[in-house]
Amino acid sequence: MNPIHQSSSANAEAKWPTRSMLLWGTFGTKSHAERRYIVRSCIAAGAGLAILLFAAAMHFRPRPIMVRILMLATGSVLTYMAWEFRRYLYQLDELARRMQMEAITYTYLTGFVIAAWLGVLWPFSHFLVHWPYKPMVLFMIPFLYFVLEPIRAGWLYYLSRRY
Amino acid sequence: MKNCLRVLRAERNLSQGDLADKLDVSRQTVNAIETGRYDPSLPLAFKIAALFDRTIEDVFTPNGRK
Repeated sequence: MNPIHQSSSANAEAKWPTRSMLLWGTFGTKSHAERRYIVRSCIAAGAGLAILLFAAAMHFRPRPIMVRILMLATGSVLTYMAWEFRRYLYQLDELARRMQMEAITYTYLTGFVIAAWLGVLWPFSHFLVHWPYKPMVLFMIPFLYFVLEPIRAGWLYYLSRRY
Repeated sequence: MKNCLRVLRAERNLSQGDLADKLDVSRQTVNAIETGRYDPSLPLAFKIAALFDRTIEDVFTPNGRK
């Protein structure tokens, strides 16, 4: 049976699961595929967080080793989450998959626009403010995933109004 | 694209959820097709037509054609 909520009403409205779309970027947790995606993603994110906390508890020392461990852990966690999301996509029916794909497309375009504007604004920031954390920006790039996920959820919610 | 899915479904006394189960899609997908907000893929259109023992042309009509 398909993942998205079922209703006994004969002529019911679409009623997409708003809370789940905004919270998880999915259409609910009633199906095995969606539960699996959410549970496994949370476990992966939790493992990544645990490694980060462990490194923080060790004061990130020895620094070269800890930095490599953190980079490897971050990359592994995000790769695994992306892989699980791909598996989840293939479990959806055609409309739900289309909406997810549209949301991903709009998220990409949103990210592109934001990156373009940051690129434009970056040279000006040199003149306006002194920001001592510039090297950290490169390290933070993987975490853009967590910034983009709410944007995808927002687009998903917007698209659900259309169908 | 227009369709008579709601009529066909009512004739067989099926809810959107029942039809969704038979088609292996979500109830929202059935709702979106019925209301004309989503045009199904060709395989799904064939599946719908076969379920009601009709041809695709019987179930779906291009906009602007009676």
